This record gives sequence, C-alpha cells and structure tokens, in this order.
Amino acid sequence: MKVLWKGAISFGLVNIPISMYVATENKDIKFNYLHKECMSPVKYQKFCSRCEKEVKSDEIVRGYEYQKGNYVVINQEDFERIPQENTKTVDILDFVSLSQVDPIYFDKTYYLEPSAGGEKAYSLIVEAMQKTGKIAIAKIYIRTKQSLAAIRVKDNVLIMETIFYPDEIRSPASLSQGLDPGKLHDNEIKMAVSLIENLSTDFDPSRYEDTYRQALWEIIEARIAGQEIVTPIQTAEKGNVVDLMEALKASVKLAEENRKSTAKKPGGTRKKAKTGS
Amino acid sequence: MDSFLKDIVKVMEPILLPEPFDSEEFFFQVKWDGVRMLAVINDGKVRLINKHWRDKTAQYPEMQQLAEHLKVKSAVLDGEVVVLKDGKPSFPSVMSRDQTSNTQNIKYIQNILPINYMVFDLLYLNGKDLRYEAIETRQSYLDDLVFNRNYLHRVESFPNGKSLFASVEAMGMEGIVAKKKGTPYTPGKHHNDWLKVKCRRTQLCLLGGYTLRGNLINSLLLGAFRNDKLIYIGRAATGLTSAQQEFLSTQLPLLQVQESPFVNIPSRKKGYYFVKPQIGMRVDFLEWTEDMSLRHPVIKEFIDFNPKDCTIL
Repeated sequence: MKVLWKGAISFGLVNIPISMYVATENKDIKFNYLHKECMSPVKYQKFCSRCEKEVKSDEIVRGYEYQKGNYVVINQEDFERIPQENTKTVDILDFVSLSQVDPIYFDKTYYLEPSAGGEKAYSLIVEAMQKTGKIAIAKIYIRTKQSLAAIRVKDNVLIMETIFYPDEIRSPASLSQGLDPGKLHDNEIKMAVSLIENLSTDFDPSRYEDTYRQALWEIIEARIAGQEIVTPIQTAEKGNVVDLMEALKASVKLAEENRKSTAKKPGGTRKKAKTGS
Repeated sequence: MDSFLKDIVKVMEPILLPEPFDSEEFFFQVKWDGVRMLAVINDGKVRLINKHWRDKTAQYPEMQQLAEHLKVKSAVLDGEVVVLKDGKPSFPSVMSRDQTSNTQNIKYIQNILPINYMVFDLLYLNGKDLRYEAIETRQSYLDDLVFNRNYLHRVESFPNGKSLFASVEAMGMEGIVAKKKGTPYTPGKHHNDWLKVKCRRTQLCLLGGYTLRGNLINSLLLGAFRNDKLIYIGRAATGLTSAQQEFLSTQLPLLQVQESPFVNIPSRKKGYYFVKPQIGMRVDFLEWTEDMSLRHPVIKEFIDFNPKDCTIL
C-alpha cells in the first residue's frame, strides 16, 4: 500500500508520528475513451468557451460563480490569507461511543500506522481505547483541507473514518414524496417481521460479490484472449533462467580455459628456452 | 520480525566501480537486471518490499508460493525480480509488471510476463537476525533453504570477476556484483563490501526529432517500438562528431514535421522539433531508468533502418 501522507496524531501533550494509508479501493472496471478511427486515447483539453482556443495552466485563474454567469476571482494570495493551523496533524478533540455515530456520517476510511519513534505512544492509545471502548473524534488538516474524523481500533490498528460535518448531511425531510405511513394492519407487520427473522444471519461480507463486474470482466478477458492471436508481441516468454545460466557458465568456462592456455604459453616458451640453452 | 524490518529499512546497495577485477577476497555474482525485492515470510504469508520500501505484494502473486516451498516459520530473503524477454532479463518488461496495480490486469499480465525471483541473500531466519553473520554463513544457510524452481533461483557465485564480466557483457546482460568475503549485511551505500561493474548496453533507436542550441543540433530524440508504437526513450547529446553535428543541423530541419511521431510526447512540446522517423541509430547506454528512458545514451553509429530491429526488448 502506498503512504498517502505522513503526519502526527496530537493527543493531549503527546504527538504520535503516523503514516496514513487508504483502506478501501473501488474495483469498478475503468474504460478509456478511444478515437474510433485510430484507437488512440481521447485527450481532454482545457478550452476557452469564448476565445475558442486551448488555454494553458498559467492562463487559468479560479473564479467563484456567485450568480449565474458572474464570477469573483479568488487568487493564491487569498487562499494563503486564511490562517492555517498545523498542517498534517490529526487533532483529537473528544472521545465518544461508536454507537452514537450514525453510519451516514462516514465518508472515507484510512489506516494509521505508527512511524519511527511513535510505536509506544501508538500502542498505548490503542490499548486505552480498547479498554474504554471509546472512539476518538478528531480534526484533520491535510494541506488546505480540514475535515472531521472518527478514529477507532480494529485488530490493534487505528482506523480513521473521515466524517461529514452536520451541514453536509441532507435532511430526509427534503425527500420529494414525504413519508406518509397510512394505516398498517397487525397482520402485515407480523408477516414483515417474520420475513426479516427468516432472512436474519450473521454478517459475512465474503458471501456477497459484484456479479456485474465479474460478468463484465469475463467479456474483457475473452476479448483479450482473442487479441492474443493477432498481436504476436503479447505471447508469453519461452526462454528461462536455467538456459541462460547454462549458457553463461559455458561462456565463463571457455573464457577461463582461454586465459589459462594463454597464461601457459609464456611459461612453455621459457621452459623450451631453458632446455635449449 | 516487525522490529527487525523497522530496524533495517534499506537494502544493501553495491557501489559502482568502473572496471572488473579479480581478487581472492571477493566472490562474484551476475547483476540481474530487474527490481530489487525483499521477500518477508511470516506465518505462511509472503510480503514483498522494494528498495524504496514500498509494499509490492499485490504485484507478484506467484511469490506467495514461497512460504509453502521454503517450509520456514519466518525468513527475509533479498533478491531481484526478473522478467525475461527473448531469453534475456528485460528491465522494461519487469517495469510493466511492477506498474500494474489493478488485480484483474495483474492476473492477465502474470501469464504473459512470468517472473523469476533471483535470490542472493538471507537476512533473517526463524526468529534469528542474520545481518551480522559473515556473508559466507548467510550463503550457506541460503543453500540449504532455496532450491531452484520454475520461478525461484539461487544466484550463483563465481571465483573470478574479469571472466564473469566478459561473459555477462558478451551476452548483453547488466553487469556483475563483487561481494567481499567475511562481511556483514550493511543497509544502504556506506560500505565497501559490495561493488558493481556495469556493462554498457546497446539499443537500436529511431531518430524522431531534435533540440537546438542556437542554430546547431543540441541533442537527438530517441525512439523505439514497443507493441508497435514508437516510444520516446530519451535524448542523446553525446557521440556525434562535429562534422555529423553540422551536417544534421543543415539536413534535419528539412525533414521537420509538425506531428510528434512518439505516442508519449505531445506535438506542442516546447523546444522539441520532430522529424519523420526514418533514420536508425545504434545507441549505447548504461541502464534503463525507472521511468523508461536510457541513462547516459551515446550515439555510436547510424544504421540501415529496419523498424523491427528498433524494438524495446
């Protein structure tokens, strides 16, 4: 796994150096857009809607659209003017019970691993959180971004979920139909409850798989296999290390025999010269 | 095991020497051209760590067999992951494996570019730290542990450096490493115990463009085919005689085209001028860089152009 960033957990007076990793990965199959005519990847260009020409990155500024078609420009200095607290820290604010945090708040999941020198403080906080059964609510600062996070322990590892701020959660009150229960019969409720009970089991995620992805992958695999026949460059390698090593050893042996025989020659002539004298 | 890994955090790297040598104090091994990899075996699982200390376990699923094949509780092996192309180690091919991260694509490429793990050292065995043992001791443990299999090979040692280098060079391989007898495993480069000598190697290239300094050609843009596509693999500024340089400076602008012939360089790239790729060159270089270009390319001669020859192996 790639380290996403390195920073520190700050907890009271303690600073625990950590590395952060993304814990989950999306396995959706990605496709590239190709130009049908020549099968080359389609490129995205930044194009000015008014000048009808490509714009380079040094010709681009950031604008906020405060009214349709009206923008105010916010430049780099403006961003820098906002006071930033320590970057790259995870600041623990409170400890709460996991059951009090509704899953709707969870956004992305990361693993936190202790960096050199942080091992002891890290295992201390893991132990203490396991003992109390609490999770930590923390503010994290990554470059200019600030977010809220919940930190919990699983398999002796700290797991951090970034959580939404309350104003980022939409209210169900804005669902278009509204919720009108109507009248429920006792029998209907009984039937629904028994249906749930019949389907109840322990959560075992390995029982579920993405059958659509599986099917799509089978199609792709078949297409790749078909292509192997037309592009010879994709065939598997036939040479092996053993053959290569045998050839090398034979070559070394030959080189050494040659050297010995050339080394012998001057010796040989000397002998001859001696007997000759 | 965890504390052991946290303690070393670097692999032992050989120091570059210009010439091969013979010495009773050293033994000599082939320098296999691939990616350096520690295989960490613990409780039946294999974890792979490269020399930048990144986890590469997912990239080489076939290495999981190691745990079963070696029958050890715990071990840390040091070696090189190598992919052969036309019977020779190919750095570009192993990079294709190394940079594939999607599980399905790994499954596919595994069959096309099978790997070989060339093992040359043993740093840890069944709870014992072996780094401070003499290299001969580590080698003898390794001899008892590693038996060659289709993907797994013990790197062999030779007594003479010069003859091994000559053979390795003749076969177009990367080079040799000299290892001093009686020495421990010292992570990093602060030692004089492992020394490498590299062969200069040859790639046939197509001239795909140039850069200028004033009115004179400054460097030539080198291309070679991979999967039938012309890839830019670096630029060479040395090897031309001044007569060649003057001749090219007058002729190349006449061949200039707007479109970049390379799939990996945009036509608008500043300061780059492109030509139709129709001139072949033999180029010597030291090694492939990790981003797939030639390190220290030197133009040796212009050759008859045959696109098939100008292919990356």
